[in-house]
Amino acid sequence: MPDDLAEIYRTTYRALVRFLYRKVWDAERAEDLAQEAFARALVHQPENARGWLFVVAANMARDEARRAARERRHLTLLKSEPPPSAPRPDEVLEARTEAERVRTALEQLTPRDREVLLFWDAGLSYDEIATQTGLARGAVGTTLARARRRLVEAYAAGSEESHVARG
Amino acid sequence: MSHVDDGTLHAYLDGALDAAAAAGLDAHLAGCAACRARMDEERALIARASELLARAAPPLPQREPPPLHQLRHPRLWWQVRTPLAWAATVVLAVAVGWYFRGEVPQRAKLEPATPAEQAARDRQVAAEAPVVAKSKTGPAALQNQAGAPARELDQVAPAPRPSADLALPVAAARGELKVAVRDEAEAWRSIPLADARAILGAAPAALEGLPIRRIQESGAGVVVLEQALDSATVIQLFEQRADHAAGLAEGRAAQRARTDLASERLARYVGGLRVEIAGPLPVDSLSKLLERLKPIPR
Repeated sequence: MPDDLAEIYRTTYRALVRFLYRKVWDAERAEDLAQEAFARALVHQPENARGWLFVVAANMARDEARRAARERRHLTLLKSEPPPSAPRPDEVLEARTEAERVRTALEQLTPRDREVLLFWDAGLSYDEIATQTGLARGAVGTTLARARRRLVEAYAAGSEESHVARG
Repeated sequence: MSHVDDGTLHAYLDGALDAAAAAGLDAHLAGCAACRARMDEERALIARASELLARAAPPLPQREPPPLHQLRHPRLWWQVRTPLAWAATVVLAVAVGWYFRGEVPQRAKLEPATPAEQAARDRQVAAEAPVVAKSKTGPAALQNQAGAPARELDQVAPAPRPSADLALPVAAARGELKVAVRDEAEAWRSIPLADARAILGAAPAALEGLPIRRIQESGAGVVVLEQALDSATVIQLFEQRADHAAGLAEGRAAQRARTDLASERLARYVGGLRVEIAGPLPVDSLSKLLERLKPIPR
């Protein structure tokens, strides 16, 4: 129902953007994709719109990642970005390093574990996660347990390495 | 007695256990210190994981999202992001100060020419062809009038072909690039911009800062707009109304061109139009150009 979708848009948009950000790691792109996912939902009018939105968004992000990987492999004829100019202040560097480290840690998870973790963090229920991933509802908790543990361990391991590297 | 597995603990802490299972767990915890300790550990783990994830959030500030209904029927063309200085890196032979006035000079059919003739013709093209000017008032004015502009839907066809297939010899590119589309037996005819606008129901999309060589239409609702990237390279933009079902609105000529040039095309939706791009460039360069499309300002 359009009414439901408007309500979902109101309550879920930010979570969808955040979910996408953890896939494309580009705030503008995450917003673009989130809006496109909602645009598609307007057309498709899916049941269980919330779960549908996240899966569609995940697919779009994955397709985009593949395209970006292809482009990087080619020589580009045209430059599209001016070279970075001013150095950034330290605090911003620090925050970027934080997000980068979490990103690295996230990449240590299996795709299934990572997906379930990001779905949960985006606010989907166990039922919605089960529906959209095909997991049995009883397996969602186990997957989350493993994903959380792996994330925390990978983050800690990454921090140790960087400390060692700095000497 | 059997202890609680991790999955059940996490489901319990996430509030996802049904009442019966939760009651059973409570009963077990009442009598099992080991499991209570594990429960505390898992609770801390969940909190730590949430905290880490929170650090991987998009940096603020973020734009206010457009009203939902606007996503379905985008009426505004302009992108929020202003284009970067890419045009400066493109080889141009255009005089500054040309503005697009709504008319495209009707050009004779291009014939293969000697290099000297072609060079002279190129200079003539560069000198008299209109340029899509950067509009100083367009984006800002439209944004102020109607709030945040709607997003456009991007599409990119799958798997690019090797660059070698698309790279045409320079001499051939000058006279023959049109051959892929411009089979004169088909009903392509040159038209002015105003006609293109009428056919498409919207301003055609073009690459800002590049001269437009000509605009043609197939008689079936497809408009092709040719722009000179440099003296030897022509970019073709095939445009049609986005609400035409793919393939139905295209004439035979466009269909043939589709198979001649590539089995896939890069396409994008710009302001109610579906635009495909073609040219003797690698796919990723075409893709970058595709991102720079804008409707021609009035």
